[in-house]
Amino acid sequence: MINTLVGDFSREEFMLSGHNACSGCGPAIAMRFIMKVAASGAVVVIPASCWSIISGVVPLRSLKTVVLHCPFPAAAATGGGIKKGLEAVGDSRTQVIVLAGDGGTFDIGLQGISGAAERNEDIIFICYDNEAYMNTGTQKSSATPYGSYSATTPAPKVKSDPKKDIMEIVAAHRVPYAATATIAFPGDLSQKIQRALETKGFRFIHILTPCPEGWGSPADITVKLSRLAVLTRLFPLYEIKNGAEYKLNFLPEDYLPVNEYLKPQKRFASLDKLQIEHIQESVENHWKELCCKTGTRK
Amino acid sequence: MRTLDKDGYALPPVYQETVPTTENKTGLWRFLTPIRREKISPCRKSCPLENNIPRWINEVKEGNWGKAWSVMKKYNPFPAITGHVCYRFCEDECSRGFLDEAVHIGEMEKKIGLWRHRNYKFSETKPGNAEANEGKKPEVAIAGSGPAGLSCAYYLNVLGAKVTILEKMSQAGGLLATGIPEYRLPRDILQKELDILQSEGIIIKTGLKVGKDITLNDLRKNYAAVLLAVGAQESKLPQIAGDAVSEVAGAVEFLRDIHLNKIKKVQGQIVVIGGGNAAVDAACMAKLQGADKVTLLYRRTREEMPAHSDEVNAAREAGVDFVFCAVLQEIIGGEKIQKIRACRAAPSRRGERLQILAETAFDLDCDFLIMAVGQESGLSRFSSLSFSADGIAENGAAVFAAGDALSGPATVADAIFSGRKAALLLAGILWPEKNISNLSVASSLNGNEPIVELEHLNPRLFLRQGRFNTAEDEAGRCFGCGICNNCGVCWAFCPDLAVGGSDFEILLDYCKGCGICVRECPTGVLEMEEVSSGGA
Ligand SMILES: Cc1cc2nc3c(=O)[nH]c(=O)nc-3n(C[C@H](O)[C@H](O)[C@H](O)COP(=O)(O)OP(=O)(O)OC[C@H]3O[C@@H](n4cnc5c(N)ncnc54)[C@H](O)[C@@H]3O)c2cc1C
Ligand SMILES: Cc1ncc(C[n+]2csc(CCOP(=O)(O)OP(=O)(O)O)c2C)c(N)n1
Ligand code: SF4
Ligand SMILES: [Mg+2]
Repeated sequence: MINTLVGDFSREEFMLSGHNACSGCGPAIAMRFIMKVAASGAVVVIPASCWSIISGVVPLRSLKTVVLHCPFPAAAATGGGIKKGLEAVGDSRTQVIVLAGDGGTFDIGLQGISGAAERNEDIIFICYDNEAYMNTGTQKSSATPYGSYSATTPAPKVKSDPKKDIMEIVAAHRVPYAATATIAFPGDLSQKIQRALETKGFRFIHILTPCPEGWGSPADITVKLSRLAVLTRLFPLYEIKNGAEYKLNFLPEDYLPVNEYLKPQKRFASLDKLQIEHIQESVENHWKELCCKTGTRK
Repeated sequence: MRTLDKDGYALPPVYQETVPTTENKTGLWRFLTPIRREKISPCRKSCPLENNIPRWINEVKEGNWGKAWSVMKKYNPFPAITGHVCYRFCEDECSRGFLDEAVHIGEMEKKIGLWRHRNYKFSETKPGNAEANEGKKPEVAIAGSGPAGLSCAYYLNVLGAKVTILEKMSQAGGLLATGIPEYRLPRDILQKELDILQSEGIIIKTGLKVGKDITLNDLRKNYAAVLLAVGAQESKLPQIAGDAVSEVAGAVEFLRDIHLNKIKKVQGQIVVIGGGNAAVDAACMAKLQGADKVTLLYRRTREEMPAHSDEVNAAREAGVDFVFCAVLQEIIGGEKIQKIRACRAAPSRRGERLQILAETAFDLDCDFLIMAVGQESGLSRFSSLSFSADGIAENGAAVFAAGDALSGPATVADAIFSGRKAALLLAGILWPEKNISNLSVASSLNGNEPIVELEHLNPRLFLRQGRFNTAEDEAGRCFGCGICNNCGVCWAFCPDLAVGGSDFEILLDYCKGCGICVRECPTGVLEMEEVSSGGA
């Protein structure tokens, strides 16, 4: 164990240096913590995404566990199948972790997730959300937030629809465990992986992972942006058990304006005052809803 | 191959034909490199002793009191004393103050000092540890046993000199014994410090006044070097019309007489003139000793008072009345003092000329008048000598000056610092050929060291929290400005696993130079440096 200011973590690494993620990659940080908690007893399924590359293009590998690459829409189905296969050969212990991007989760992978959630497949589905199709050059996904530039929503039109609420979609399937997490809170993230490992059935973790390349942010503020997303209440940290029991995991001390988070990112550069106010308002509305669900007074 | 763990479980095997990405030296991508460069913390910058506060706080955090003392003593050998009396300039500047509340540095310092007092073994000590000493010990005489003299004695003794302190009073300690009120510095603390110094081999002779009982020339003959740390204790008593009465005393003299039991009881109406610590302490002491009424007159406003707010508050609580923008004009009385006459001045800032307001005279009943409007350096008795700002005799003699005597009235911490600096100067004379290592005596900062700015820090990693109960937990509130305190944040957030897990060194083969470690580092010790060509 290494005791750090941001949590106590295992010294052992299941991810290797030398991987091909961009400098300052948020998804790389997320996976490192996921692997620290889970890798000694888990195999990983990765659909087409940045992580297909980061985990190693043949013959390279950056993860010290079994990785199965699968077609873009098929992550949940592949994960569920592997779990059934393991059980069939008498291995009931190995956990199956599916790691998909937001494209592979919110869009093209959604039907597979819905099916696996409905059947309560015994897998941990982790979405690392960098809010666009980054590996192919920043096309918008349904996880891209309102007001964001992307290759398919260029300025000045930018994206006019809000981000899809994936947590509510998953919760509506009444799955045993769903949680949000982000890299600036690695202790919280690790705890949620641990809790997922200890739960049976379909488990879903939505991790916000800033992407300097696609967000147009300096590489060094990846973690800072992740923190600001939580502190501005734009990305609250919470859990949902059995689709109904909501729990807020972190209550920010202050009300930071959402612009603190938006300002350093070039993808939001075209926003005017009204649009920023609109984002602020929707953040507040979402926060209020969540407070009701979690029984938080504030 | 599946290797089974003790429960007979193993993961399905990794396909072995693959190559680990560690073959891929991503350090070649880099054009900026994180480097560790220690900086001066704001607390250290504002400390008269330039004390490396975050370093010893870091040891307190782990409960390593012995190590904390080892760091401390290079800067401040008397933390039990300063922990009680220092005005804690450090806490005024503490970066944590911008988040919630300054770290309680003074209290931790006191605890380190008390730990040292509790754990000091008198029997085991051998006089001096002869670090710079080969053969016969050079002998040094120090006039004055205030904090400046004691500090210089401590360091010279550590370096290997034989030190004799000559003190004119019957008690050693300077203003620590005769000036600072006992409620602020319990005298057993001072006594313990003196006992330790003596058991380390330092000789303290009291009741010997240099210039009277023994001449400076005699000292120069018998000792390799002499330090004059004689303080600035002679109160200036300005000439005022009607000032022909005996019930007027300087504040330092008044306090000294109380501490030496020459004054047993104070009564009647007392007026104190002045706005410094000596004035406020004297007023407070007079009240505590039984005066019916104590009034302090200061010529400027409350905000301009040089006295520390802690002391002003203590005096207020004790019942001292303050009158601001008031100037003493006349002492009225015959054989005995009866009244003083004062008048009003326009509010003004320190350094500005005082503007007396016409027709504002008022009288105050007064049985005893205490003057605290400045103190003169004891060096005036050695008028044949003059000293440079560093305290070196200008005629080339091996005579030095330190403390209040050199600077004018300052603070205990300033005096200890001055004594430490003097020790290094004297060491240069005692061992000219020897390179004095600063393993045991910290040298002074040169002013070019990089300073930690607020923007280097990352307060958002910390939750708001008031003071803690235990010193260890309180130490955990310290950001560690400017030092690496092994917080592990750089290691935790590195996307490239390019920070080593044991001493947090940067693995240049893999560091892509993203700078997250620098941005997230809560202490500001990391910074980015340009590299001409990327890679390892
Ligand atoms: C009332 C009062 C309260 C104070 N409170 C505080 C406080 O709370 N915190 C703080 O930080 N600072 C305080 N100060 C300031 C602080 O005490 C001094 O700055 C500090 O003591 C100076 O140390 P020093 O060693 O230079 O001189 P001193 O402490 O004045 O010691 C000089 C010594 O030299 C001796 N001496 C003088 N002439 C001779 C001679 N010819 N031969 C031999 N010995 C001689 C004197 O008797 C004395 O013992 C206070 C000062 C006063 C007056
Ligand atoms: C069926 C199919 N369509 C398109 C692609 C091309 N493709 C590969 S990765 C990718 C983007 C993935 O986006 P996301 O899931 O958000 O992951 P990210 O790259 O952002 O990490 C796309 C469109 C593909 N591999 N398969
Ligand atoms: S594009 Fe973004 S998510 Fe993909 S590797 Fe680069 S930084 Fe990471
Ligand atoms: Mg994506």
